Amino acid sequence: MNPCPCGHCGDRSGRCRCTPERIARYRGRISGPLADRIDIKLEVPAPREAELTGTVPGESSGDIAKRVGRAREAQLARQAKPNALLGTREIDRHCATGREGGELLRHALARLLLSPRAYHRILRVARSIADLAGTSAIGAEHVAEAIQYRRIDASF
Amino acid sequence: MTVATVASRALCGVQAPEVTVEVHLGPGLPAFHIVGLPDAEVREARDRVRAALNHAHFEFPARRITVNLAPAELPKDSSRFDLPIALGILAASGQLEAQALDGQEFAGELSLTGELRPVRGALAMALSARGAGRAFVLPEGNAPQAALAQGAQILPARSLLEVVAHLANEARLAPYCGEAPVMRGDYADFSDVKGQQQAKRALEVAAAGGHSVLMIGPPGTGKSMLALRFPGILPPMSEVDALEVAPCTRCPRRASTPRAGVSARFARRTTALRPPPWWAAATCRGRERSRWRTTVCCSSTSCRSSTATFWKHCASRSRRGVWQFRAQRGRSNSPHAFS
Repeated sequence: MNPCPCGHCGDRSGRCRCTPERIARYRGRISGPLADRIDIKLEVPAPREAELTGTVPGESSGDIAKRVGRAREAQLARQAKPNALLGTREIDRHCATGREGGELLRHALARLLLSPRAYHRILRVARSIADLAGTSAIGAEHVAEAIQYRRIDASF
Repeated sequence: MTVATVASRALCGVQAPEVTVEVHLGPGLPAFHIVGLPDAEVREARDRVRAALNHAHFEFPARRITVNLAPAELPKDSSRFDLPIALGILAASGQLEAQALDGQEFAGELSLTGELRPVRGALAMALSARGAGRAFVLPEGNAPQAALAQGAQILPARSLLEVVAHLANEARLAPYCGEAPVMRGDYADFSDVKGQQQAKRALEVAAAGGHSVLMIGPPGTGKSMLALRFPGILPPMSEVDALEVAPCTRCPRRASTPRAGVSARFARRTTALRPPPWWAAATCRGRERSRWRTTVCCSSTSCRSSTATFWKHCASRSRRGVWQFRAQRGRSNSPHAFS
């Protein structure tokens, strides 16, 4: 979706003329309860000019798919299901964070006013990030990355 | 034998519930009725079945034929009941052994010459037939799709005559042993998208763990490009998952942004109902109030404006036809905006 009806909310050029009310109504198309169930909310800004005009090719789908495949195999071997389908007990068993990660998460819960559901979903995403990194324990950096995918929760 | 039952399947979303086709030949004036919530396509089976049986030199019984599609409360659509109805008539009139129909399910559209034409939902029906432990007789054109249900006994046939010969034990139908089509999508590559490293990383995490994603950004930054390439990095599906989603991929789809659907739904309302002619006067008068504007609507015409969401009936006043609407900062309320 776009950030506002005209699509340019937050643009440095200031060409967005949408009122806060219109923006709120537009964002309201995705209700709060629904937005809370979305694990990863992602801002996709316009690429910089250098990136756009450059000829450096990005990573191919095949390379990414290999890493994804390895991570998914690790999940199936450990719990016989993808991380997104983990229940609360399985989260306790498989998604234990270290002391530092737990601290970070508690802090984020208070600051970002996250729901208990969001808390569990962050842990599941952190587990996936750790699986991609190939580590069995969830580190603070994995938790931090998972939290930043929830950064724009407050705007719904 | 004046009653015969044939097993077939209806289609209800991606499920294929069992339907028993009961055919009864009774005394009375010659007639042909189909009951059991059939829609127009199923009712038209009467003419196709009659022509197909005549063309194949079977006798079409000159009796009162009643076809019941049970369960009666399940709506039946499509022409897939042609074949079971024809076989039911043959069995009820003694032209075919009724026992030969046991342990098999049938689906197929008949042409007037008795050829079998492909039908919708072959895979869903084959999966259900496999679950019921029955063989599935279906038109030849549907066999490759039905073969995706591994372990199902698929008996493809080209015509009504072939099916009857199979049931009469004269020329048995050969089980389909061709390869099931490999359903692998051909997706564009992520290397086409310049920049957007963070977005690619987040999509990678989502693909690895099966997480849901929402992309927010200005138009033209690559959200749709990324989304189109996302299936290419998903891990391969297990057979169970693939079969579960395969019936859905047979439905016609259209790529669209989520907003398109919403706009299309409201489009008719906004264009059909124009702001009333007193709109300009009302907004001018309302401009004198700071936050809420009160205006009078002629409720007798029950006209609604395109900005209906901003309007609500003024609960504080008992007078009919008094409405309030919220002042919008920085936006013109001129009627020209809607013309």
